[in-house]
Amino acid sequence: MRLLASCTLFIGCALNVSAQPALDYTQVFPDLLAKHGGPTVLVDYVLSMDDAAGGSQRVQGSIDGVLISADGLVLVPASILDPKALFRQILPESQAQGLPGNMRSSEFKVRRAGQGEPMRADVLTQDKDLGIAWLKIKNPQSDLPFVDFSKLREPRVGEPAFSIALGGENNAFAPYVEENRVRGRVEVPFKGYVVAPVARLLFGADLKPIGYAVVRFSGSPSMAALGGFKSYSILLPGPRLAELTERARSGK
Amino acid sequence: MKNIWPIVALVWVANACWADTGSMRADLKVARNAVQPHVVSILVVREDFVSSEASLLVTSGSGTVISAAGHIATNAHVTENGKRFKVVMNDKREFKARLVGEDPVSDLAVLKIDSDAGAPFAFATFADTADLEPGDTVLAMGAPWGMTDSVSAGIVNNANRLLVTLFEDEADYEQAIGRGDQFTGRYYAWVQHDAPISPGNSGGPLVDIRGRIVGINTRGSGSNGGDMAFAIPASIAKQVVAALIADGRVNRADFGFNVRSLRNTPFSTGAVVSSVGRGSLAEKAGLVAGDRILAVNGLPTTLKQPEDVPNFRRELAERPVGSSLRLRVQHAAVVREIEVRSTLEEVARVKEIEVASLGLSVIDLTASMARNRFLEAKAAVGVVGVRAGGPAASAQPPVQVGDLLESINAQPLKQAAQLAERAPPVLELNDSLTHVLALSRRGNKMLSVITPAPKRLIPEQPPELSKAWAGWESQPIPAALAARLKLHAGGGFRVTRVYADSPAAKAAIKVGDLIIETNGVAVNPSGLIETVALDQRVRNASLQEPFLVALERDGRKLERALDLRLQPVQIADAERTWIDSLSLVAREMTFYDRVERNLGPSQAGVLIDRVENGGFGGLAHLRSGDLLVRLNATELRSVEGFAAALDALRTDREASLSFLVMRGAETRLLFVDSPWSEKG
Repeated sequence: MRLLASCTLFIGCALNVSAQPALDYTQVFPDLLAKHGGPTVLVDYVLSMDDAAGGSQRVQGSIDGVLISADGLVLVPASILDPKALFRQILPESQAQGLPGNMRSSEFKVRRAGQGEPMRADVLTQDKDLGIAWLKIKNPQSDLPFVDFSKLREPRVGEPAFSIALGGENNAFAPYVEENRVRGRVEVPFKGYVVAPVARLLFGADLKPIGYAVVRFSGSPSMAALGGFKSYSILLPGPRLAELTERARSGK
Repeated sequence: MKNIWPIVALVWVANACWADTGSMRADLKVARNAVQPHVVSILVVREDFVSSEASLLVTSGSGTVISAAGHIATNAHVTENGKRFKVVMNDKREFKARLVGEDPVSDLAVLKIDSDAGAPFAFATFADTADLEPGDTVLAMGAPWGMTDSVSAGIVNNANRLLVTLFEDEADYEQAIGRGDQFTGRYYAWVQHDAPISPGNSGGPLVDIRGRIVGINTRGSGSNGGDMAFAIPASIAKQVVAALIADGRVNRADFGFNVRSLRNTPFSTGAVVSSVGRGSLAEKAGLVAGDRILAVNGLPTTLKQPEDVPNFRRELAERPVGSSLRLRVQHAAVVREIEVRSTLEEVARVKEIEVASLGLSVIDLTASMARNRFLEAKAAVGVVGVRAGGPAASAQPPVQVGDLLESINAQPLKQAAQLAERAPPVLELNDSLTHVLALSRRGNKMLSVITPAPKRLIPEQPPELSKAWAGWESQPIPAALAARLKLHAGGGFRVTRVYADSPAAKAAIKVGDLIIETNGVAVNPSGLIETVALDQRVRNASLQEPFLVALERDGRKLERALDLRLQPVQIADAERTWIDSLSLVAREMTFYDRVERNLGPSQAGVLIDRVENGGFGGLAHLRSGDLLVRLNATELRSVEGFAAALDALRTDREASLSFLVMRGAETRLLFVDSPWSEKG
C-alpha cells in the first residue's frame, strides 16, 4: 500500500513536470476566500464636487480595498483620491470639459463583510504614477485579518491570477473571486505585468499575493466605438509593492 | 452807435459769467472749508463669513467728526462686522476708534475716537432744516476707493427720492433695497444727487453750498458708484446719531402693520394697509391687509404718493414703545375703530457665530425673521454656513444651511452662543466622539449624528509618496533634432542642470550629456516639451537597486550607475503653521524654493503661504510668497523659530513688529503695531 502511494506520488510529480495539470478551481477559489476573504474590504467615501451655482454636491461611492497590516493599512486605487483624473481619461473630451472644477474625496470608511460598523480611515499617502494609495484606519479593530506582504512574490507571465471583491450590501458584502491571468510584461515607465482590467491585489494559484493591478487606458475615448480606446491593467510586482508599502508606512 | 450794443451786452454777459464763476468758486471754498477738515477716512478690520468660516478683511469708508468728544457719524454698512477701527483725520493724524452704536434700519452708525490725545476735536454740524431743492449744488466728501481727502461736486436731482421706479410695486420697496432681513431706508426718502461717489465714500458727508451737512452718502446707482448717488437726509441722520450717542441704539415702536399710498387705487383719502405681521398685536386687534386707514388718533390721514409713506411710518415709529394708536379704518363699506398697541421694533442685524469644531456657523433668528420663514418658534438658532467637507457637511444626515438647531445631545439650544459653548473646543477633539443634533428642516424634526473635527487651515492635498530623485533637469531631444545636432540617432534627454551633491552629480553626470537609456531600455522622447518619459522612470525606480544610465558625451557612449535617493520635500508637503496672532500661514522653505529663487543653502527665512488681509500680518502688508527673513532682531530659520520669536516678543510686550522680507527682486522692511499692544 505504501509502495502504491509512493508510486502515485511519483507519477503525479512526473506528470507535473511534463504537463501542468488543470487547475482545480473548486479547490483554489474556496482556499482563496478562506485565506484572503477576511482582509478584503469595501471603502466608502464621499465625493464633493463644485456645482454650477457655486455650491458643492456630495455623492457617496465605494471601492474595493484590501487590508495589508494588523494596524489597519488599506491598499486602494489612487483614483479614489483624484477621480477627476480618471474621468478625464475615460470620458470623451466633450464630456470631460463639463467636469466640475474641483472634485475631492473624503470621509473614508472601511467596511468588512459581516463586521457591522465601518471603520474611519485617513489617507496615509499615494503614488499617483503607479495609481496606488494607502489608507490608515483610525481606530482599527483588534485581530484585523490582513494579507501578509512578507509573502509577496514576483508574478510569472502566463500564470493564472485571482482577485477577491465584496458583493453589495444586499448580499451582506459576501466575498467572491474573479479570475485573471498575467498576460505580458512592461519595462517602462516602470517594471510591471499586463493583466485584464482590474484594480485590486492579485493572488497566484499558490494563494500568495503577486502584486497590485491598476487600470490603464490607451487611445481616445471618443474612438471607443472604432476600437481606438482600450483598457488593461498593469500589475505592480510583489517585491516592488512591498518596498513602496514600507516607504509609505515609514514616510521615508 | 447802434452797433455797439451787442458788444457791450457780450462783455456784460462775460463779466457776469466770470463773476458768477468766481462767486461759485468762493462759495465752494467756504463750503469745503466748513466740513472737509472734519472728514475722516475709516479703516475697518471686519470679520466676514464664507461657508461658515470667518476671515478678516480690511475695508474702508468715510465719516465726519460731529462732536468735540470725537464722535464720528458714518454708515452702518461701513462698521458692519467690524472688529477694529482706525480713523485717519484730515490732518493725517491716526486714531483707533470704537463702535458706539449701529442702526441698520437707517444704515447709520457712530464711532468714537479712542483717545483723549486730540480732544477737544473740531467738528462739523448737520443742517437744521431740510430745505434742499433739485438743482442745489452739493459736495460729496470722503475717501473713494480709500483715497483720502476727496471732494466732488454735483447738484441735487431729487431731495425726496424713494428707490422705487415707475415699473415696480411700491409695496416691494423695502425688500428691493434691504439686505436679507435688514430693511434699510424704511423711514426716509433719500437725497438723490450726481456728485460722483465710489466705494469708500460711504458714510462721508454731503455738503451744501452753505457748508452744512445735508446728508450722509450711502449708495451709488451701481456697485462701483455711477451717475446717481443717494444720501440719507441730514434731518434723519442728526436724530439717529443723537440716539446712538445717547443709548447706543435707536428704539422704535412697531405697530405690526405696513401701509402703501393711494397711487393706483380708486381712493382719494386714507392709506391702505398693505400687510399685517402674522401674530402681531395689529393682527390680534383685527387689522387686515386691504383695510384703509382714514384717521390716526382722530387726525385724518392721507398718503397720496409712495414718497409720503416713509414719513408716516417714521412718525409712528417715533412714538413711545408700548403706546397705542386709535385707527379709524374702512373695509368695503364698513368703517370701524381699532386700537393697536406697539412693541419694540426688532433690530434685525444678527451676529454670525462660527463653531469651528462642527464646521458650521449659526445666528440667532429673531421673531420677525422666524415669521418671514413661516416658523412657529419665535426665536431659533439658524444655520447660515456649512464648511465644505467639514463635520456638519459630513454629518449623518448632513446639516444644511437653513436648518434650525433645536438641541445638541438633548440639551436645548435657545441661542447661537449656546452651541458654541456646548460644542467641544477644537483643541480638545476626540475622534471617536460624536454628538446628536436635533434639527428642524422645513417642518421635519430630524436627528443628525455629527463628529467634530478640527478646521483644516491649509487646503488638504492628498499626500504623495516620496519618490526617487536623480538631481538633474533635462530637455527632450527627439530623433529628428538629434540628427540635426549630430547626436545619438534615436535621440534622448539632454541634461540641462545638475544639482550640487545630488546622485547625478556624484555619478559625474554633466550638463550637455545626452541620456539615451535607463536600466537598459532606450528613452525616445516623442516631442520637444514632454520630459515625463524620463522623469517618470526616475521617480518610479527602486531605491534598492542602482539606476543604470547610458549617455552620450562628445560622441562617446558612457555608462553610469546612480544611487538614487528620495526627492527633497515637495512644496506641497512643506511643514506649515498657522500663526494666529498674525492671521497667516507660514511654511518652511524647501529645496525647490531655493532653486526657484536662486537662494543658497545658507539663506535664512520662512515663506508666507497665506495671509488674511485684515489680520496683523495683512495690516503689515505681508503677502503670500514673501520670504520672511527677520522678525525684529531675530533671523528666522524655521516656522517653529518664527512662532518662538513671536512668543518672545509677546512676553517682552514689544510695541511694534518689523518684518524684513524678500519679495521679488526687492528686500523690504514692513511694520505693524503688535497685536498685544491693542486695547481690548
